[in-house]
Amino acid sequence: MARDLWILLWKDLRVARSYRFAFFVQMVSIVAPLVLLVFLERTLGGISVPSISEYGGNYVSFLLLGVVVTTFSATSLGAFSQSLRTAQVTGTLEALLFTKARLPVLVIGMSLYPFVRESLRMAIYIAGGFVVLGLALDTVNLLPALVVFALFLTVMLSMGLMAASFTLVFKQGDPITLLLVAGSGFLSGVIYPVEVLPLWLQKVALALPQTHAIEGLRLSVLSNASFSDISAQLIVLGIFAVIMLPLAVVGFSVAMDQARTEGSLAHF
Amino acid sequence: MALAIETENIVKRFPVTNSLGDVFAFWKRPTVEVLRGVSLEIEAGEATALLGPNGAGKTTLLKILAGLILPTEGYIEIDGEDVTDGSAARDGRLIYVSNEERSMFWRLSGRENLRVFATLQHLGRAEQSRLIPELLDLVGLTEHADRPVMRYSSGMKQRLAIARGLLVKPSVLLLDEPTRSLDPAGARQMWNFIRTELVEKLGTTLLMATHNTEEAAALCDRVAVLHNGELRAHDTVSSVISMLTGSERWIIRTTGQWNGATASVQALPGVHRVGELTDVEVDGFAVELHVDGSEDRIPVIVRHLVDSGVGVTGVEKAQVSLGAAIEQLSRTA
Repeated sequence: MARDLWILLWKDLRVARSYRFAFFVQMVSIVAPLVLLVFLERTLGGISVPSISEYGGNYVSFLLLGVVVTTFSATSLGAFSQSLRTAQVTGTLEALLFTKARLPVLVIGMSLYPFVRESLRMAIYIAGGFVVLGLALDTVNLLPALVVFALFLTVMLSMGLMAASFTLVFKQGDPITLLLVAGSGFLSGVIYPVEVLPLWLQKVALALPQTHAIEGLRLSVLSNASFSDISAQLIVLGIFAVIMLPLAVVGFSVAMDQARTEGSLAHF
Repeated sequence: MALAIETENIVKRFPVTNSLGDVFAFWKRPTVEVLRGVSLEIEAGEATALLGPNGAGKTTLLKILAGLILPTEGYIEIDGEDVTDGSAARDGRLIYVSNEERSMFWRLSGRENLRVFATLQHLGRAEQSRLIPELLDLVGLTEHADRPVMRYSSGMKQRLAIARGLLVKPSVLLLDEPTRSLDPAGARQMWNFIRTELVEKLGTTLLMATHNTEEAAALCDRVAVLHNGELRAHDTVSSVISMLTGSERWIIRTTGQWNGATASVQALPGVHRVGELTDVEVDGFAVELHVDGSEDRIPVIVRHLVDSGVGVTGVEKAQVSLGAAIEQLSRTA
């Protein structure tokens, strides 16, 4: 499985590099938002915001973590449907299906390049936070932060497979990516804490995995939170992962059978 | 000889979505029947052409064998094993090569494409290093192996797709119109490659969908003819022609135009069709007749023509071409 994933990643990297200008723009776009945060930090001048004191009170650091998670989820989630559609449109999907690589592995492999690119973006943002924005290293509890990220990654993989299932059957109009990305921007506490929302919207926000991932990462990176401090976020993300992953695999298999029944695998 | 492909009563009905309501009430969507009980037996090592007009169901049948489409009813065996669920393609016993030029990663070279697919076929590095140059050589692409596929001609892309299929040494190869986008010289080269390298040297069982009857006759031991989703004939070219036409083709040369005699000859017993002669050059006037197998029809027809004032200068029995037989099938069905 590792070789299947690696060769698909290598292939996408080669293809991406062959579009030289687009590749350059992609790489530049990774660092561009960090520049915006630097100017925002200069504008706010390290003002401490009481409503986010739980996360250290620095708004730019607070925003950085929100942006990191939401950008990662938006791009990586869209990657599944997009890579599947690209394979349908470019005609490579049927050829890939004739290989010995399992289908979920193929779909994950085809989406790996944007995942890696977004993980790199995430790492650069966080590193930039330390180097440029002056985040304090002693507030970081790395291990819980990595566990939050791993659980969130599993949930995103599952959601991405579900989104790809919609693409297989309906070709366009994947509602999962649309709802999760649009919903999380408003509700997950990206630019303001969830607590400022009306109570009923706070309840809706709790149904989004991004809310718990952002919260868990902020607490572990900005407030030195331990596993027990973020146990609620870990449990919720764990439940999401345990339920979503098998559901996504079964759902994808059903979608595949449906597409084979309708003869629409290569339709676009 | 052992059977490589055996299908029994394959039926395929595709659901049709005409409105948004059909999307939600998917269990009661209307269907269209594309294959109607196709039973086909192909022996190991045999080359068979799948012929038929557009919409006959050729590509659907190939895709069902390849597991890209699930049959509604029926049973498929490849090399004696039940593969109705499409598993033959997944385990590498069967490969389907479509006429889709885009099925490669265009920005990678031919060699890189083969490397990607070889890795996904779980071939080890050593095997890849040996096999990829061998296959590139077999399909005549060694010189172009490191060029991006987007700079390949249609024929080169088709040959690369075949090389990709051969990575797993399949016992059955399904080709969907392999020469559709090739010029006549390229098509002939491809025929030669398929017949010599794939069928004769490697002993691969070949099932090839094509519209080109000349291609079918040149490459294949037998032909199978699909029409409106039904298998109408499956045998050698000459047997299929007589099976399809159910008649013999006669050419009658005359001193002048038939004028009104055409309709009256058409009305005679045993005459299936009276038409213009298109594939044989003759001096003067000549008309072709398709008459049922009984030879005593011809003197009656000649007498009728003479009585109608048409001077008959010659009568000869002619071979019906496979193309004409299929055309006739399309007209009569």
